[in-house]
Amino acid sequence: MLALSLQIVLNGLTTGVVYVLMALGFTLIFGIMRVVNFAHGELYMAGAFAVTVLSGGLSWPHLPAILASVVLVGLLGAALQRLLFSRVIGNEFNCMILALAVSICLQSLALIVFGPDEIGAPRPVTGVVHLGPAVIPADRLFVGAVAIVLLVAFYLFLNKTRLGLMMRAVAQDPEMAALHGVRPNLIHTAAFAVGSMLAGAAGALMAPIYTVFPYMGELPMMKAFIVVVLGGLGSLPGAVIGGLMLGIVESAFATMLGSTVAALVAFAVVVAAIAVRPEGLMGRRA
Amino acid sequence: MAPVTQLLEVTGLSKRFRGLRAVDDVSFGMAKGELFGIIGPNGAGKTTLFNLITGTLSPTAGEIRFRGDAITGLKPDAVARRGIVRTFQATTIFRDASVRDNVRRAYLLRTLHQPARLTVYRAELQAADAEAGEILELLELDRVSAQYARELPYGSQKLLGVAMALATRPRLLLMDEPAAGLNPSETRALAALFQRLRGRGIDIVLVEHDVRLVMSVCDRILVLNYGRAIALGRPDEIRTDPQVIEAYLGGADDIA
Amino acid sequence: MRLRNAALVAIVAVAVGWPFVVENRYITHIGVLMAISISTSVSLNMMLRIGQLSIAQAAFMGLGAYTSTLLVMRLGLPFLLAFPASGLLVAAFAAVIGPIFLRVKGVYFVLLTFALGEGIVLVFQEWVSLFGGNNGIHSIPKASLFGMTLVSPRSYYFLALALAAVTFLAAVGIFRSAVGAVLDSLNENEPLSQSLGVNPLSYRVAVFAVAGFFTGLAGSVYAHYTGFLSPDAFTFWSLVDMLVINVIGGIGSPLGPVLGAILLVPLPELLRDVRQYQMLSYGLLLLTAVLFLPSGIVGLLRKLQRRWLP
Repeated sequence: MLALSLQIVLNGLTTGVVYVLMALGFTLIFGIMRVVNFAHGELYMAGAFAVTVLSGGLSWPHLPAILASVVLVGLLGAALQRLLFSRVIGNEFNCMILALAVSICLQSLALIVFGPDEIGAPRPVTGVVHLGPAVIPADRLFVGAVAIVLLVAFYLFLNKTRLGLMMRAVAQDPEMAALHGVRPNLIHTAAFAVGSMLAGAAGALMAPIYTVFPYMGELPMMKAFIVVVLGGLGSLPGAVIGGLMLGIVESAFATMLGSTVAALVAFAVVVAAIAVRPEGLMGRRA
Repeated sequence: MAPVTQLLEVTGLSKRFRGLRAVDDVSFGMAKGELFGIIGPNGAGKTTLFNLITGTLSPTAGEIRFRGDAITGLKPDAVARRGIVRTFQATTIFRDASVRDNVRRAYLLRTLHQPARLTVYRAELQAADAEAGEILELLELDRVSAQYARELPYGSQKLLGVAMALATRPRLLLMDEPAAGLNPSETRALAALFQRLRGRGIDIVLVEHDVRLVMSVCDRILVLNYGRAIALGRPDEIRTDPQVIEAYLGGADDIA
Repeated sequence: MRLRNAALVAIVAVAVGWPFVVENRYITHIGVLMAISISTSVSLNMMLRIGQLSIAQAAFMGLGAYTSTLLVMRLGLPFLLAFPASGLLVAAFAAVIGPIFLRVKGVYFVLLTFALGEGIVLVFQEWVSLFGGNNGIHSIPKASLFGMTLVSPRSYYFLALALAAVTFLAAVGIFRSAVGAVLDSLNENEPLSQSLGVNPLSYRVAVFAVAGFFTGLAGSVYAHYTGFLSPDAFTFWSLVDMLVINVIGGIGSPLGPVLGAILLVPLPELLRDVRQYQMLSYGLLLLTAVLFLPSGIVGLLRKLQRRWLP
C-alpha cells in the first residue's frame, strides 16, 4: 500500500510539474494582459517541434536543444504580442478570438511544415531509477528535474529582477503600476515572452516522452485551463499548487478508477469551482 | 415626534468588512411625506448605508422595513420593484443611447422586469414613449431628448439619471450625492426639483456631502460618524448638536 | 427601406429557388450544411449579444442530435415529435443549469461553458451503450414529416432553410422588440439596469434557453440528414466554426452570422485541392477580421451604405 501510494505520488509529481509550467504561463499572461490564451497549447507544440528538430534533425545535445527551443518559443511569444495582441489589448472578447486565430494558424502551419504524422524525439536518458519501493523511468525524472530548475529560475526572475518585480506589480494593480511609470507595453511583451517560454519548455521536455504532432497542444492546454481555474485565474501560487494537485489526483484516479472517470471528475470539479468561487479555490476575492 | 406612518424603518443595521465596522448598529425611521437627509464626514458609512438599503450589499445584522415589509437582503432589482429606486453618485446612464431612449429603457426595465414572453411588446414600447415624454418635460430635458446621453453636460447627465429613476415610478427615491459636481445655480435648480417631486408624492432620501443643501431642504437629518448614528433630528437640532459639531470640527466641511 | 424590401424578396427567392435551377446533389449538400450553420450561429449570436460567449453551444447541438436520434431509434417516436423534443430538452437543460452558470460573466463564463462542453462530449464518448462511443451511431432513420419521408438532400435543404429562417426571425424579433432594449441595457450597464428593477439573471437564462432550443433543433436536423453521429462533430472546434462565422459576419446583428455562414461554409469545399491550406486560411481570415473588421461584414456593409446611399 505504501509502495503504491509512493508510486502514485511520484507519477503525479512528474506530470504535475509539467502542468505547473503550462499553467504558470497561462495564468501569467491572463493576470497581466487579461488574455485567455487559447494558443497556449500551440506554444507547447512549438517547443516540442523545436526540440525535435534541434536534437533529432540537427543532433544537438539535449540541454542546449531544450534551452534553444525555450528561447525560440519566447521570441515567438514576444512577436505575437508585439504584432497582434498589442492591437486588441483591453478588449477581452477580441483578445480571446485573436488567441483562437493564432492557435488555428500555428496548428495549420505545423501541419503544413511537418505533416499530420506523429513523430518521436530522441530520449535524453533511458532506463529506470529505483526510489525505495517505487520505480520511475529515468526520462521522467529528467523532465521533473529540469522543470524544477526552470521553476526556480522563474521564481527568482519574478522576485529578484527589476523586470519580474514590475510584472508582479502590474499583475496586482495595473493602474498603480502605470502611475509609478511602469511601461505597460514592455511588461506585456515580457510577460507574453516568459509565459510562452514556460509553455515551450513544457513542450520541449515532454517531446521525447510522448509523440510530437500538430494537435499535441490541445490536451496540455486543457490541463492548464483546469489548473488555472482551480487555482484562480491570474494566481501564480494557485497555478503551482493546482498543477501539482491535479498531477497527483489524476495519477491516483487513473490508477484506481481509470482515466475517463478522472477526466469527468476534473470537469465536474471545475464547473463546481467556478460556479461557487469564480475567483478560484485559492484566489483572492475581488 | 414618532411618525404615524413609517415608510422606511431601519433597525440595528450593521455591516462589517473583515472586522471594519462600516455601519454599526444604525436605526432610524422615516415617515411618509418626509424629505430625509443622511450626512456625515468622509468615510462615515453613508455610501455603505445607502448600498445596504438598495440591496447592493447585504447587512451583517439588522433589519430594513419598507411600508411595513422586511426588505433585508433582497437583490437590488427586487428592492427597486418594491418602489425604492436609487440614483448614482457618478453619472450612470446608457451613454450611447439617446436621452429619450435612456428614459424609455428605464421604464421598460421596470415593467418588463423578467421575461414573460419573448417578442412583440408593441404596447409597452408605446407606453414607454409616452412616459418618457412626460418625464423629460417635467425635468426640462425635452429640448435635448434626441441627443446622445454622452453629449449632455455633466449637470444634465445627473438630471437624466433622476429622470430614469422616475420612469420606474418609485415611491421612494434614494439619491446618492446628487449635488456633487454641480455649480451653484444647478444646485438651486436641484433643490427646486425636490419640491416638485414631493408635490408628486415621491419621497426622497438624500445622501449628501453638501451639508448646506441638506440643512436647507430636508425635514429631518441622520448624522453618521465612523459608522454610527450620532444624531437624528430637525436641521435646527442637528446644527446645535455638540456631537455633530465635534464630528465635523477640523474637517473640510463646515456646518453652517 | 424600399431597397431593403426588394433585397429581402430577392434573397428569399434565391434561397428557395436555386435548388430547382442547380440540380447538383453536392451543391445542395453544402446548402444544407449552410442552413444548419445559420441556425447554430444565429443562436450563438443571441448569446454574444448578451455578452456571454457559450462554448457549450456545440455540445448543445450534440445534445439535440442525440436526443432526436435516440427518441426515434430507441423509443420509436416519429420525427415530428422527436424534432421539437430535441429543442425543448436542450432548452430545459439550459434553463436548469442557467441560474448557476449565468451567475458568472465574461471570461469565467467562457471557461465554465468550455468545461461543460468538454464534459458533455466526454459523456458522448464514454457512455457507449447509449451514445455509441467514438464509433458513433449509424443508420439513423431519415426524417419523415406527415407521412412523407425526407430522403433527398433537397428536401433536407428546405427543412434546414425553414429552421434557419425561423431562428433568424426569432433573433431579429427578440432584439428589435422592447425585450431587445432590455437586453442591450443589461449588456451595456448591468448595475444601472438592475437598480431600475430588472432581474438580470432571468433574462440571461431566457436567452440561454432560447439559444439552446434552436441549437437543439439544428442538431436534430443534422442527425437525420447525415444519418450518422459521432462525438467529434460537437467538440470545441465545431464551436470555433460557429464563432468564426459570427466574428467574420459581425456579432452586432443576427444578419452577421447569416452572411458569415454563407461565406464560410463553402470555404472548405473551395479549398478541397489544397487541403492543408484550408485551416490556415480559416485562421488568417479570423485574424484579419479581429484586427481590421471589428464589426464584421455587416459593419463593412453599413459603412459602405452610409457612404454610397445617403
